[in-house]
Amino acid sequence: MDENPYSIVSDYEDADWEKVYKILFAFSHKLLSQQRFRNSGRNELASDFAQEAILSYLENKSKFDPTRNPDLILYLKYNILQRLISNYTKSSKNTKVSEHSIEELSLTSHLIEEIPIDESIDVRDVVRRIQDDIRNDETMSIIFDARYEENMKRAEICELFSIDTSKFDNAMKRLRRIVEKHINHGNGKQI
Amino acid sequence: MEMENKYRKILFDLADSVSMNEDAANEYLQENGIDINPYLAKAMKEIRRKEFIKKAEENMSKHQRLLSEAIKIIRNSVPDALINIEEAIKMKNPSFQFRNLKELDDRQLKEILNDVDLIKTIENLNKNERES
Repeated sequence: MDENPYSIVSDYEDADWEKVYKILFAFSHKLLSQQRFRNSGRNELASDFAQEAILSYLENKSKFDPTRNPDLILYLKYNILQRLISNYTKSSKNTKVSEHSIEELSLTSHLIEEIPIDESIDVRDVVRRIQDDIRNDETMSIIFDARYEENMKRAEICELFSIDTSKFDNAMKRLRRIVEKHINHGNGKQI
Repeated sequence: MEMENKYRKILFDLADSVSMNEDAANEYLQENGIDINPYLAKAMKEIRRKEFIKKAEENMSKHQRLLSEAIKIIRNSVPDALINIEEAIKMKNPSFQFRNLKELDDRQLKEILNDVDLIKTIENLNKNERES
């Protein structure tokens, strides 16, 4: 399987929308992992969000500023799509999320706070179980703390802790498997 | 709240990883038993439609800009500079008889200019103006 992130940093007019749509669908689908979405039309919702993100970009192409961050995929995922999901999940509270600049699109973004999670999930317990599971693996523990406590990026973590990038990627893969296992358990079923 | 945000970041990273590229997305869809094709077909229809409409809007807008530019140049040109362009228009539209381009109003000019290659016309107008 290709391990490189897909990006579009030039020739935006020739974007492969089928590929982009699949990527945005998977992203939305995973973020909509709450019980209430699983019970009704999660696939349709993910499709609507992926489609709407692309249509929204096409409608207002000038809002995408490549000089700030040239990757169209990042813009679609972390700006348009995440805003659409946030607006949707907040719609019941009659609040609207404004647009955000590309600089805000990191784990420090306050948009992160708008990602929906089930009230029934014991978040503290899930995080504790993940930490227990990785306790004996130094690299995973470092990555977990740096990423989720300190909001550090891959390059920053590798440099500060002298971790080879391939070692980082391998540890991240193992970490994701563990995270997935505990989140699924926390949700009470496979997501 | 802090713990919830940590959980959200973890969830966000998971979503990012399953959508890292097309292979990862396909694998995720397969694992979840999702047949993307009907959704994809429906979405692509809307996306192609939007692209078509936006392209048409852009072309229309560009055409209007070129029309305005051509009219502006005609209004500001010395009569000699218009001779060649008048001949070019006559060749394109021999049935249309006009006295002098400058005597036509904007609506009439637009009607004439709609029948010619505007970019070439503007280039000719500019060239003739420089040579006059």
